[in-house]
Amino acid sequence: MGADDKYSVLLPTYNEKDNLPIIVWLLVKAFTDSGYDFEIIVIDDGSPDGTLDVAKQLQTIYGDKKIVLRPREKKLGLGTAYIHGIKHATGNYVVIMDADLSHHPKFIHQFIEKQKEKDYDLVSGTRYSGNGGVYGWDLKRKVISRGANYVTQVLLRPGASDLTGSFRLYKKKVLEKLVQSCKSKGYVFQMEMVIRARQLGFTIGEVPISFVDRVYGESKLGGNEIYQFAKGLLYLFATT
Amino acid sequence: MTKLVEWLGGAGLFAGVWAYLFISTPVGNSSDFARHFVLFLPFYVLLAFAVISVSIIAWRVYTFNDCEEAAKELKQEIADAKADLIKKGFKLD
Repeated sequence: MGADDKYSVLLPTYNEKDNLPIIVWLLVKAFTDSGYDFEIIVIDDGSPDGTLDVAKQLQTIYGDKKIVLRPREKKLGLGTAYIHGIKHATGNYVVIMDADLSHHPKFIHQFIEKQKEKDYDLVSGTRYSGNGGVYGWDLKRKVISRGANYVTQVLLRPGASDLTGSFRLYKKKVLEKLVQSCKSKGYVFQMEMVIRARQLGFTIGEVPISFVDRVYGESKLGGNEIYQFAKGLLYLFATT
Repeated sequence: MTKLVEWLGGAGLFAGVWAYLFISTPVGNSSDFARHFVLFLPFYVLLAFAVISVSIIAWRVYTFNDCEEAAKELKQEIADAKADLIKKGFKLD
Protein backbone atom coordinates (compact mmCIF):
# COMPACT_ATOMS: atom_id res chain seq x y z
CA MET A 1 0.00 0.00 0.00
CA GLY A 2 2.71 2.44 1.01
CA ALA A 3 4.72 1.89 -2.15
CA ASP A 4 1.73 2.65 -4.32
CA ASP A 5 0.76 5.93 -2.68
CA LYS A 6 0.72 8.90 -4.98
CA TYR A 7 -0.01 12.48 -4.01
CA SER A 8 -1.80 14.81 -6.43
CA VAL A 9 -1.28 18.46 -5.57
CA LEU A 10 -4.11 20.67 -6.79
CA LEU A 11 -2.97 24.21 -7.57
CA PRO A 12 -5.80 26.51 -8.62
CA THR A 13 -4.20 29.64 -10.04
CA TYR A 14 -5.31 33.10 -11.01
CA ASN A 15 -2.64 35.63 -11.98
CA GLU A 16 0.25 33.76 -10.36
CA LYS A 17 2.82 34.04 -13.13
CA ASP A 18 5.52 35.11 -10.66
CA ASN A 19 4.72 32.68 -7.87
CA LEU A 20 3.94 29.60 -9.93
CA PRO A 21 7.53 28.75 -10.89
CA ILE A 22 8.63 29.12 -7.29
CA ILE A 23 5.85 27.02 -5.79
CA VAL A 24 6.41 24.30 -8.39
CA TRP A 25 10.17 24.33 -7.73
CA LEU A 26 9.52 24.06 -3.97
CA LEU A 27 7.02 21.25 -4.49
CA VAL A 28 9.37 19.27 -6.69
CA LYS A 29 12.16 19.74 -4.15
CA ALA A 30 9.97 18.76 -1.20
CA PHE A 31 8.68 15.62 -2.86
CA THR A 32 12.05 14.60 -4.26
CA ASP A 33 13.61 15.03 -0.82
CA SER A 34 10.89 13.03 0.92
CA GLY A 35 10.68 10.37 -1.78
CA TYR A 36 6.92 10.26 -2.20
CA ASP A 37 5.39 9.92 -5.65
CA PHE A 38 3.54 13.01 -6.82
CA GLU A 39 2.02 15.10 -9.57
CA ILE A 40 1.10 18.79 -9.66
CA ILE A 41 -2.19 19.68 -11.31
CA VAL A 42 -2.34 23.34 -12.29
CA ILE A 43 -5.88 24.61 -12.72
CA ASP A 44 -5.56 28.04 -14.24
CA ASP A 45 -8.74 30.07 -14.63
CA GLY A 46 -7.84 31.97 -17.77
CA SER A 47 -5.33 34.26 -16.06
CA PRO A 48 -4.75 37.38 -18.13
CA ASP A 49 -1.16 37.67 -16.90
CA GLY A 50 0.06 34.59 -18.78
CA THR A 51 0.18 32.12 -15.88
CA LEU A 52 -0.71 29.30 -18.25
CA ASP A 53 2.32 30.01 -20.47
CA VAL A 54 4.53 29.88 -17.39
CA ALA A 55 2.91 26.56 -16.49
CA LYS A 56 3.68 25.23 -19.97
CA GLN A 57 7.33 26.20 -19.58
CA LEU A 58 7.47 24.35 -16.27
CA GLN A 59 5.91 21.36 -17.98
CA THR A 60 8.77 21.31 -20.50
CA ILE A 61 11.30 21.36 -17.68
CA TYR A 62 9.69 18.82 -15.34
CA GLY A 63 7.70 16.69 -17.75
CA ASP A 64 4.00 16.29 -18.27
CA LYS A 65 3.73 13.41 -15.82
CA LYS A 66 4.75 15.74 -12.99
CA ILE A 67 3.13 18.95 -14.22
CA VAL A 68 -0.41 18.37 -15.40
CA LEU A 69 -2.31 21.28 -16.93
CA ARG A 70 -6.07 21.46 -16.61
CA PRO A 71 -6.91 25.08 -17.39
CA ARG A 72 -10.36 26.63 -17.50
CA GLU A 73 -11.74 29.50 -19.50
CA LYS A 74 -12.47 31.91 -16.69
CA LYS A 75 -12.52 32.39 -12.94
CA LEU A 76 -14.99 29.80 -11.75
CA GLY A 77 -14.40 29.35 -8.05
CA LEU A 78 -12.54 26.98 -5.78
CA GLY A 79 -15.09 24.19 -5.35
CA THR A 80 -15.39 23.57 -9.06
CA ALA A 81 -11.62 23.89 -9.43
CA TYR A 82 -11.18 21.02 -6.99
CA ILE A 83 -13.82 18.95 -8.77
CA HIS A 84 -12.14 19.65 -12.10
CA GLY A 85 -8.71 18.86 -10.70
CA ILE A 86 -9.74 15.62 -9.00
CA LYS A 87 -11.19 14.28 -12.24
CA HIS A 88 -7.68 14.17 -13.67
CA ALA A 89 -5.81 13.24 -10.53
CA THR A 90 -4.03 9.89 -10.70
CA GLY A 91 -3.00 9.90 -7.06
CA ASN A 92 -4.90 8.25 -4.22
CA TYR A 93 -4.28 11.30 -2.04
CA VAL A 94 -4.88 14.94 -2.86
CA VAL A 95 -3.13 17.99 -1.41
CA ILE A 96 -4.87 21.32 -1.69
CA MET A 97 -2.95 24.51 -1.12
CA ASP A 98 -2.55 28.12 -2.22
CA ALA A 99 -0.20 28.97 -5.07
CA ASP A 100 0.86 32.34 -3.68
CA LEU A 101 3.68 30.99 -1.46
CA SER A 102 1.74 31.44 1.77
CA HIS A 103 1.74 27.65 2.12
CA HIS A 104 5.15 25.96 2.12
CA PRO A 105 5.52 22.52 0.53
CA LYS A 106 7.97 21.52 3.25
CA PHE A 107 4.97 20.74 5.47
CA ILE A 108 3.54 18.19 3.05
CA HIS A 109 5.70 15.31 4.23
CA GLN A 110 4.55 16.13 7.78
CA PHE A 111 0.94 15.93 6.55
CA ILE A 112 1.71 12.58 4.96
CA GLU A 113 3.32 11.16 8.08
CA LYS A 114 0.48 12.46 10.24
CA GLN A 115 -2.04 10.85 7.91
CA LYS A 116 -0.28 7.52 8.18
CA GLU A 117 -0.27 7.68 12.00
CA LYS A 118 -3.95 6.88 12.26
CA ASP A 119 -5.01 6.59 8.63
CA TYR A 120 -6.75 9.96 8.90
CA ASP A 121 -9.25 10.80 6.20
CA LEU A 122 -7.97 14.34 6.11
CA VAL A 123 -5.08 16.29 7.60
CA SER A 124 -5.43 20.02 8.07
CA GLY A 125 -2.64 22.56 8.42
CA THR A 126 -3.29 24.83 11.40
CA ARG A 127 -1.98 28.32 12.07
CA TYR A 128 -3.56 28.43 15.51
CA SER A 129 -2.12 25.58 17.51
CA GLY A 130 1.21 24.03 18.32
CA ASN A 131 3.96 26.08 16.74
CA GLY A 132 1.79 27.11 13.84
CA GLY A 133 1.70 30.82 13.10
CA VAL A 134 1.59 33.65 10.61
CA TYR A 135 4.06 36.15 9.18
CA GLY A 136 2.98 39.54 7.88
CA TRP A 137 -0.16 40.24 9.89
CA ASP A 138 -0.63 43.40 11.92
CA LEU A 139 -2.50 43.55 15.21
CA LYS A 140 -5.85 44.32 13.61
CA ARG A 141 -5.63 41.33 11.29
CA LYS A 142 -4.63 39.03 14.16
CA VAL A 143 -7.52 40.22 16.29
CA ILE A 144 -10.00 39.66 13.47
CA SER A 145 -8.55 36.24 12.77
CA ARG A 146 -8.53 35.01 16.37
CA GLY A 147 -11.88 36.64 17.05
CA ALA A 148 -13.55 35.00 14.07
CA ASN A 149 -11.97 31.66 14.90
CA TYR A 150 -13.15 31.90 18.50
CA VAL A 151 -16.74 32.66 17.48
CA THR A 152 -16.59 29.74 15.04
CA GLN A 153 -15.29 27.40 17.74
CA VAL A 154 -18.01 28.42 20.19
CA LEU A 155 -20.85 28.17 17.69
CA LEU A 156 -19.78 25.14 15.69
CA ARG A 157 -17.43 23.18 17.99
CA PRO A 158 -15.80 21.71 14.88
CA GLY A 159 -13.03 19.65 16.45
CA ALA A 160 -10.37 21.39 14.34
CA SER A 161 -8.43 24.46 15.39
CA ASP A 162 -8.12 26.15 11.98
CA LEU A 163 -11.33 26.03 10.00
CA THR A 164 -10.60 28.58 7.30
CA GLY A 165 -7.20 27.17 6.42
CA SER A 166 -6.79 25.80 2.90
CA PHE A 167 -3.60 23.76 3.22
CA ARG A 168 -4.83 20.20 3.56
CA LEU A 169 -4.26 16.59 2.60
CA TYR A 170 -7.28 14.46 1.77
CA LYS A 171 -7.81 10.88 0.72
CA LYS A 172 -9.02 11.34 -2.82
CA LYS A 173 -12.34 9.57 -2.24
CA VAL A 174 -12.98 11.71 0.82
CA LEU A 175 -12.32 14.96 -1.05
CA GLU A 176 -14.60 13.83 -3.86
CA LYS A 177 -17.40 13.09 -1.43
CA LEU A 178 -16.99 16.37 0.45
CA VAL A 179 -16.78 18.69 -2.54
CA GLN A 180 -20.10 17.33 -3.83
CA SER A 181 -21.82 18.21 -0.57
CA CYS A 182 -20.41 21.71 0.00
CA LYS A 183 -22.24 24.68 -1.40
CA SER A 184 -20.48 27.70 0.13
CA LYS A 185 -17.86 30.02 -1.32
CA GLY A 186 -14.57 31.50 -0.18
CA TYR A 187 -13.52 31.09 3.46
CA VAL A 188 -16.80 29.45 4.29
CA PHE A 189 -16.21 26.72 1.72
CA GLN A 190 -13.13 25.54 3.60
CA MET A 191 -15.08 25.69 6.86
CA GLU A 192 -17.96 23.73 5.40
CA MET A 193 -15.56 21.03 4.17
CA VAL A 194 -14.36 20.35 7.70
CA ILE A 195 -17.84 20.51 9.23
CA ARG A 196 -19.27 18.10 6.66
CA ALA A 197 -16.25 15.85 7.13
CA ARG A 198 -17.09 15.59 10.83
CA GLN A 199 -20.76 15.04 10.08
CA LEU A 200 -19.90 12.18 7.76
CA GLY A 201 -17.68 10.63 10.38
CA PHE A 202 -14.35 11.29 8.68
CA THR A 203 -11.28 11.55 10.90
CA ILE A 204 -9.23 14.73 10.96
CA GLY A 205 -5.58 15.14 11.91
CA GLU A 206 -3.74 18.45 12.37
CA VAL A 207 -0.24 19.69 11.63
CA PRO A 208 0.96 23.17 12.70
CA ILE A 209 2.07 25.25 9.74
CA SER A 210 3.55 28.67 9.17
CA PHE A 211 1.56 30.94 6.88
CA VAL A 212 3.65 33.63 5.17
CA ASP A 213 1.32 36.35 4.00
CA ARG A 214 3.04 38.45 1.37
CA VAL A 215 -0.11 39.93 -0.11
CA TYR A 216 -1.72 41.29 3.04
CA GLY A 217 -0.86 44.84 2.09
CA GLU A 218 -2.58 44.49 -1.28
CA SER A 219 -5.58 42.36 -0.53
CA LYS A 220 -7.54 43.86 2.30
CA LEU A 221 -9.86 42.00 4.59
CA GLY A 222 -12.78 44.31 3.93
CA GLY A 223 -16.21 44.69 5.40
CA ASN A 224 -17.69 42.62 2.63
CA GLU A 225 -15.47 39.63 3.38
CA ILE A 226 -16.38 39.84 7.05
CA TYR A 227 -20.07 40.06 6.14
CA GLN A 228 -19.80 37.00 3.87
CA PHE A 229 -18.00 35.14 6.62
CA ALA A 230 -20.67 35.98 9.19
CA LYS A 231 -23.41 34.96 6.77
CA GLY A 232 -21.66 31.68 6.06
CA LEU A 233 -21.09 31.00 9.74
CA LEU A 234 -24.78 31.51 10.52
CA TYR A 235 -25.69 29.25 7.60
CA LEU A 236 -23.50 26.47 9.00
CA PHE A 237 -24.80 27.12 12.52
CA ALA A 238 -28.38 26.72 11.37
CA THR A 239 -27.92 23.76 9.06
CA THR A 240 -25.30 21.46 10.62
CA MET B 1 -29.64 18.02 15.63
CA THR B 2 -28.20 21.23 14.25
CA LYS B 3 -26.13 23.57 16.42
CA LEU B 4 -28.98 26.07 16.28
CA VAL B 5 -31.40 23.55 17.73
CA GLU B 6 -28.83 22.60 20.39
CA TRP B 7 -28.47 26.22 21.43
CA LEU B 8 -32.22 26.80 21.46
CA GLY B 9 -32.55 23.72 23.62
CA GLY B 10 -29.85 24.99 25.95
CA ALA B 11 -31.49 28.40 26.10
CA GLY B 12 -34.82 26.77 26.89
CA LEU B 13 -33.23 24.75 29.68
CA PHE B 14 -31.59 27.86 31.12
CA ALA B 15 -34.89 29.75 30.91
CA GLY B 16 -36.62 26.95 32.78
CA VAL B 17 -34.02 26.89 35.56
CA TRP B 18 -34.07 30.66 35.77
CA ALA B 19 -37.89 30.82 36.02
CA TYR B 20 -37.81 28.17 38.75
CA LEU B 21 -35.16 30.05 40.71
CA PHE B 22 -37.07 33.27 40.31
CA ILE B 23 -40.30 31.79 41.53
CA SER B 24 -38.68 30.05 44.45
CA THR B 25 -36.70 33.00 45.92
CA PRO B 26 -38.85 34.35 48.76
CA VAL B 27 -40.18 37.90 48.54
CA GLY B 28 -39.26 40.21 51.40
CA ASN B 29 -36.64 42.70 52.57
CA SER B 30 -33.99 40.23 53.64
CA SER B 31 -33.91 38.50 50.29
CA ASP B 32 -33.90 41.55 48.02
CA PHE B 33 -30.32 40.82 47.02
CA ALA B 34 -31.12 37.22 46.17
CA ARG B 35 -34.11 38.26 44.10
CA HIS B 36 -32.09 40.94 42.36
CA PHE B 37 -29.33 38.49 41.61
CA VAL B 38 -31.68 35.89 40.16
CA LEU B 39 -33.49 38.51 38.10
CA PHE B 40 -30.27 39.66 36.52
CA LEU B 41 -28.74 36.19 36.26
CA PRO B 42 -28.84 36.02 32.45
CA PHE B 43 -27.13 39.39 32.28
CA TYR B 44 -24.40 38.27 34.68
CA VAL B 45 -23.91 35.06 32.72
CA LEU B 46 -23.56 36.96 29.45
CA LEU B 47 -21.22 39.46 31.07
CA ALA B 48 -19.02 36.68 32.44
CA PHE B 49 -19.01 35.00 29.04
CA ALA B 50 -18.04 38.27 27.35
CA VAL B 51 -15.20 38.91 29.79
CA ILE B 52 -13.88 35.36 29.48
CA SER B 53 -14.15 35.48 25.67
CA VAL B 54 -12.31 38.77 25.34
CA SER B 55 -9.59 37.44 27.65
CA ILE B 56 -9.20 34.28 25.61
CA ILE B 57 -9.03 36.19 22.33
CA ALA B 58 -6.58 38.73 23.76
CA TRP B 59 -4.35 35.90 25.02
CA ARG B 60 -4.45 34.14 21.67
CA VAL B 61 -3.58 37.33 19.81
CA TYR B 62 -0.72 37.96 22.23
CA THR B 63 0.68 34.46 21.78
CA PHE B 64 0.09 34.27 18.04
CA ASN B 65 3.36 33.01 16.58
CA ASP B 66 5.12 35.40 14.23
CA CYS B 67 6.95 33.28 11.72
CA GLU B 68 9.97 35.49 11.12
CA GLU B 69 12.17 32.49 10.35
CA ALA B 70 9.76 31.15 7.79
CA ALA B 71 9.64 34.47 5.97
CA LYS B 72 13.43 34.70 5.86
CA GLU B 73 13.76 31.13 4.66
CA LEU B 74 11.21 31.76 1.95
CA LYS B 75 13.06 34.82 0.69
CA GLN B 76 16.22 32.77 0.33
CA GLU B 77 14.40 29.91 -1.34
CA ILE B 78 12.83 32.24 -3.89
CA ALA B 79 16.32 33.36 -4.88
CA ASP B 80 17.55 29.74 -5.04
CA ALA B 81 14.53 28.72 -7.09
CA LYS B 82 15.01 31.49 -9.62
CA ALA B 83 18.69 30.68 -10.07
CA ASP B 84 18.02 26.98 -10.50
CA LEU B 85 15.14 27.49 -12.89
CA ILE B 86 17.20 29.75 -15.12
CA LYS B 87 19.86 27.03 -15.23
CA LYS B 88 17.18 24.59 -16.32
CA GLY B 89 16.21 26.84 -19.19
CA PHE B 90 13.30 28.69 -17.68
CA LYS B 91 12.72 32.18 -19.05
CA LEU B 92 12.12 34.48 -16.11
CA ASP B 93 10.30 37.73 -16.84
